[in-house]
Amino acid sequence: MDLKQAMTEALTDTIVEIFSSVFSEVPAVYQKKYTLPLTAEGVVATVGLAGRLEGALILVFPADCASKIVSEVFSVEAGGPSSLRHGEVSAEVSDGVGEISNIIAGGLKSRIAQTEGYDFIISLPTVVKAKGELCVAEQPKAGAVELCVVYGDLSFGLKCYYCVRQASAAAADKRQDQEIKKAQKAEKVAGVLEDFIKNGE
Amino acid sequence: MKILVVDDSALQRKLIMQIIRKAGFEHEVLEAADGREAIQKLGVNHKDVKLILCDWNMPNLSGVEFLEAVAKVPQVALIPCFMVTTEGTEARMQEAHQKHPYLAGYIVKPFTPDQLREKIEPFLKK
Repeated sequence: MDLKQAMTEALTDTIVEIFSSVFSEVPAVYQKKYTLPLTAEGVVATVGLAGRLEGALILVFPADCASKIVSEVFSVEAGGPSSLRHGEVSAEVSDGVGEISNIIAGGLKSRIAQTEGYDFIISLPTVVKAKGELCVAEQPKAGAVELCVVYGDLSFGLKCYYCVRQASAAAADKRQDQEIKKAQKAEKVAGVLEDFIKNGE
Repeated sequence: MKILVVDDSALQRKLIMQIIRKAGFEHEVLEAADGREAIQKLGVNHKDVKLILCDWNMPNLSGVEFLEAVAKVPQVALIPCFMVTTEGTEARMQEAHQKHPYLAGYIVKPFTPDQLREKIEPFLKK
């Protein structure tokens, strides 16, 4: 299986797993470009990938789709103080879209590590509200997967750019240095925790 | 009795709280949006915290950095801790157990309410 096929399957399987557990039906996932004219508001979430695979995962949701998916995935009860008004990109919707993109990136990472042996880290998600026609710029030197996800009258788009970095001795040395620094940081943080405990006693 | 929930997503923390309440547990739930805030809340409340649920990828101080520090402090090292995270690779699970040898468990997102409840129930019923 080539890498593009593996990435496509990993993303599709992750999306189906997430949304099947929340909605009663399996979403349809198409390998095609998602166009979003955005006459209303929308939300764009980006998660960076770094390591043996580098790139970015970009999700584009129209506002009504974002609020509906977030309210279902996070079981936000309708009518309560935390209800999500239909079509509004509130802070809660932005938070939820960020978390959903984090979950999709995590699922991609687990599956690709298992099938292709490539390890990479994922960044914290960045979420941007948008209005007007959206166009994700092409990255001609990178591989790309484009998916359109449809569930009933809801749909959103996903684009993942990636390229493979060769493993190197320099990278291995850097990782070793990072481990030493992490151990030093852990000692320092443990000291801060002990101070809080002592001050409270 | 208290539970410490550490996640940079307010919605995720809210979801976990809903699952805890629907399972019938009346523990006070402390929230922290990153590892740094969790260090402070755990330090102040350590005598009452019975369970820690912690995400991995967070700003300021990550979940695994938080748990590594907790494992080094005898007063809190044995509090049951679960990682609740999208980081589901074998390598990450091994890393988490290496950084916190007493880690009680590992829950990969997305999880169903029943999956979370079944994992934490034995530690809250004691």
